[in-house]
Amino acid sequence: MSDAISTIEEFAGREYQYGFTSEIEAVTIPRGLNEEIIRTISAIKQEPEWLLEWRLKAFQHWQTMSEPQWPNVHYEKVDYQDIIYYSAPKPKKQLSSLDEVDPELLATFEKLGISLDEQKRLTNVAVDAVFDSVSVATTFKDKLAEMGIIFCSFSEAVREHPELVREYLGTVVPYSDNYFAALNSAVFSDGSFCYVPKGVRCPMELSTYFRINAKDTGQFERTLLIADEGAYVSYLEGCTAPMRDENQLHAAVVELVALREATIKYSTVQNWYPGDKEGRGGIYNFVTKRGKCDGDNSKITWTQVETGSAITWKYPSCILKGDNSVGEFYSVALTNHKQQADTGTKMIHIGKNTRSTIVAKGISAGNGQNTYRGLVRVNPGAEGARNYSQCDSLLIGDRCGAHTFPYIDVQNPTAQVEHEASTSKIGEDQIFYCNQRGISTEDAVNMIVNGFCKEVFRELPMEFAVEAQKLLGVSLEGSVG
Amino acid sequence: MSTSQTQTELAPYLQAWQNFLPDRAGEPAWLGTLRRNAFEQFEQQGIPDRTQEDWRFFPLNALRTTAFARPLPPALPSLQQMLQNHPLANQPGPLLVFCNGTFVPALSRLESMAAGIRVQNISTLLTDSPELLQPWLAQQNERQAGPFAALNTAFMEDGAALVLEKNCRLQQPVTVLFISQTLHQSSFTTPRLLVAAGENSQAALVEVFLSEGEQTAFTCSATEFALAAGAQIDHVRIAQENLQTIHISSTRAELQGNSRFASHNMALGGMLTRNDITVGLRGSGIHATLNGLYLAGGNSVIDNHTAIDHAMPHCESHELYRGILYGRAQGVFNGKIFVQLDAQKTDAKQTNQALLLSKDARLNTKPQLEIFADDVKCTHGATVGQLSRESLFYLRSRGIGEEEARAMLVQAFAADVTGRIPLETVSNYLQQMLPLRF
Amino acid sequence: MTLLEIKNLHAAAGEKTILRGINLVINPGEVHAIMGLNGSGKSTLANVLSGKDEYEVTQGEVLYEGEDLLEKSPEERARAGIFMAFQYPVELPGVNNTYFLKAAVNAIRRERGEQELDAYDFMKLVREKLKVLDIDESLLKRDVNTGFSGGEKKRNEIFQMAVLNPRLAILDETDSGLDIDALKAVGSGVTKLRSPERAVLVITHYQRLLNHIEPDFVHIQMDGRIVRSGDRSLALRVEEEGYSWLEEEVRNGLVNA
Repeated sequence: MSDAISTIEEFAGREYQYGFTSEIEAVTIPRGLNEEIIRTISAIKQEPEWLLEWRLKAFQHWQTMSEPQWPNVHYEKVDYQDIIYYSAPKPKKQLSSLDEVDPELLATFEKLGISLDEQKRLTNVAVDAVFDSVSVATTFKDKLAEMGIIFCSFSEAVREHPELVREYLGTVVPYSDNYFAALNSAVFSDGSFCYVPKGVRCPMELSTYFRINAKDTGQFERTLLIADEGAYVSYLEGCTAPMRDENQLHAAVVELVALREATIKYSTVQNWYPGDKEGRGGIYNFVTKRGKCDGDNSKITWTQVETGSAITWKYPSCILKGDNSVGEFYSVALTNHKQQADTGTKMIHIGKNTRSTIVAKGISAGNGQNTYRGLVRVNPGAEGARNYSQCDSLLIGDRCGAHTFPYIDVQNPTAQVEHEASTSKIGEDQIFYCNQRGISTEDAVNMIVNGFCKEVFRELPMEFAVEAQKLLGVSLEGSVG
Repeated sequence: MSTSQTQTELAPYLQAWQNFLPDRAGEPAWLGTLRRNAFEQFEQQGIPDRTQEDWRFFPLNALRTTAFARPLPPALPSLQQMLQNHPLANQPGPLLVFCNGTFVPALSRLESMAAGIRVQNISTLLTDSPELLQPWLAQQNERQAGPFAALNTAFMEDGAALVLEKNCRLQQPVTVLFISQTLHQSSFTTPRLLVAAGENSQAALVEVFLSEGEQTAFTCSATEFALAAGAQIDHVRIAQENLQTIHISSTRAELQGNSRFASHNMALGGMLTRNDITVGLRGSGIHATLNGLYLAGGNSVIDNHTAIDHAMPHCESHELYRGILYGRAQGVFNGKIFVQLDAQKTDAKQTNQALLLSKDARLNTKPQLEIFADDVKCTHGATVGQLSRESLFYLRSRGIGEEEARAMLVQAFAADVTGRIPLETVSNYLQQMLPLRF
Repeated sequence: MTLLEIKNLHAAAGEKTILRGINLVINPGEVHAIMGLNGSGKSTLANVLSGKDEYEVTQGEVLYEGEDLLEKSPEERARAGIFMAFQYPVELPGVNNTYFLKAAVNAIRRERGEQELDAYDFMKLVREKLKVLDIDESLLKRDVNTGFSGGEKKRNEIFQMAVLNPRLAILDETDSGLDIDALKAVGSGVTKLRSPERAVLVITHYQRLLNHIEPDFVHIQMDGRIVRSGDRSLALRVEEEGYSWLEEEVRNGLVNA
């Protein structure tokens, strides 16, 4: 075997950078799941009766469901009675400003490169930080409020804007949608809420940063984002977790609603702990994300860079209900070591002249298994619908796998649907060509991988694009000697 | 499948099985064993339902609710008339005609063959020289092939066999006609085709399914190919039965090193048609071609499932399926390509293109790649759309009426698939069979 | 000082011996051409010099600026100033030409202990070279060789050579597959890049490229050995009479020492 290939073969992750734990006192509730637990969570959060009822209905429905078997992933069954469903950093006292947040907590986020200190933040990014189950701080709230933009934790939204929450909660992802969405609906603890009023263009990137810290807890956050008529918002989401030998469950729900002429860009850089090289530990990332282009000419763009988690199971989707609405999905999913990802999207064309674009890039290295699963459906009424899908796989080494399952269901003759897929590897001749120009093999591999992902990265907001490129380098690194 | 389901759904098949067995008393013992194992398989797997991924889009209720009878013996005069001017019955080369499951020697032409080439109906061979069939018949994994391949084996009455010894080449194609004569009653037939091609042998086969009469029919067909190293086989399969027919077929091919296999799967008729084509590439240097054309109108459903298993390095597979759907027809295409760990340097290309010509036509397509080797070239592409407006306009601007222009474009779309059949008579025939109105 | 000295170089690909004792000395400022039929091992020589690991050196040595070249990795050789214009430049989809070149320039500068170029200085350098070679700026926006025509790929190689400013440029069959206009463009590009510090080794099957890049020395390679060296007239004779007269002479033992 040539040097170039053996270096690519070694191309297998350096240690996870965010694997530290923080010593923070937490309020947790007993292990397990039953109605009592749900009542307790609801009570801690001082929720209104209707929300508790909704949770209980979801729980009852969940009990009738069984865990989906169809994804192309393999894992030990999760014991849902052995999970702690609520854990929150213990407040020292009632918080009135960021200064009063536990300094250890602030330090944790600093360490993750997420400064909650508004002065130190990039001026154009507002952050909602979620630690274990609850939102600990939201920056730039006041500035946004001046424009009528509501950006706060989900719990706060339930308290302060119950009418908005009640109107939209579960309208895109009903609690009965799937096993994990039902579980989330029953036990969700916190998350982010955002409402951008009519005609307002949100002047900064909104971002939520998720961190799982406590042991044996699951994280079940819920994000609800509403862009009213003509509004624009770009939203970023980042995630990390400590290194632990046990698997931890993350079952989030994200609902996006875009009304007439509204645009939502939702970007994720997911870097949950992927487990170690032998596949011990890591996050089970079973997430339901869906956006509804409710009004005419609305647009939702999902961009995701998935490098973490032991198992990823998620399909950020668009329901294109409004005429001329647009759905986009740009994804890079990297699996290394024993990671498994089954991810993709669903584009449901309902309105006339709806358009969707799917660009999915899967990179498999080590023993990683990467599955693209997607559905493009054109309903009978979706005159003139268009879809273009492209899914490309890059294999690094000969023990990994790439799988493509695109479902296409066309029920209208005026639709035009195109799907293309390809598989490639990094060629020895490509590496040699770079070497001959003085570029090291490691840089060459990075360059080629980043080139492979370029169409996705250019959809990310600038700050994130740089981070994503680095992250990809880190996740593959270690490899090139 | 639970016992109670089995009992109710499979009762007619069980009944038929009990009536069928005593008739087969004179057969070789090994065949009896095959049949019993196969029926057991069928019973175990049962009639699939839509919760099974591979059968999601195929309605099988008719098989649960209709009791298909074993067919009547063929009525020769009308059959003769039907085939008199049929282009495929009159092309040169051996011809085997089967009607309602029975071989019809009077209408067949079994010319004397060169040494090492045996073209014969299966039941004659079973009496004459069963040792020719035993190594090949139903030797590929029945369990993986699903319940209907097993059902065929259990109830198989007759069919065609082609056994080629090393280096034997057939100059002219073998034509095999399976006809369902449903003039007065429904019928259930189990046509079978077996091809065992020795090293460096070569042949082309044209397998055609026709009906006479308008009653319901269930054709449960199975076709097996075993290609030794260097063998070259072209298989054209034309299904053109009446609009009351349920046609379910399993084609399996096992290919050894440097062999060439081309399947041309033409589905032009029937009410519910399901074709499963599975090709295993078991040596290096193999070229496999899977082409298909499906045409459906009315309320028909046409479902093609193909699977190509690249198990060894340095093989190529090329797949092109094109569909034309109109009326309220529903088309399904599922193409799997597996590239196993050892199959480095695989070059696999798959394309599925479909035309939807009416507002109620529907297509489900799922091109599927499963790749475990890194040094491979695999692509798939799927497109769904309608006829190009620009092309239509161009033709009309030259004075061609819209209806004719549409037909011309559809013909052209189909010709890219039919034109790949290396038998001119057959590709011409197929082009003529396309409707002139959509 | 001698730039490159090849002494009795033998190399094999797997079981097959291809180079059977190459001897060659190249000084700064010189242009050498190696000609020969297909299969004579010309491209193998280029690949061995640039460090392609398909070939195993079985005997002999190569000194570059007095140091052992063969123990260096391909990128070390590149950073030391060896540039290879490939016969078949590979495509790097998604990798932007400018980004790629900047990475290469700075890798080389770092090695030499020079300050890395910032975006401004780099673009200045690149634009200057584009102008010298009369190449359109749109090249900078494209991905490395991706979707390029044969001529575009070869011109991109010469452009990279201009930017990377090598001490020794090896042109491996740069003329293959080029029409006359592209050939002229490539030839004049290389001629513009001639300098007293830089040596060029042109590997070619035909004489025609040498009409555009005038060599100081011409060597004929046969069966893994240089069998005749001379000046430009040797190339012209090969063009006129082919290689058979030389094969004849070689058979008769008339090989230059």
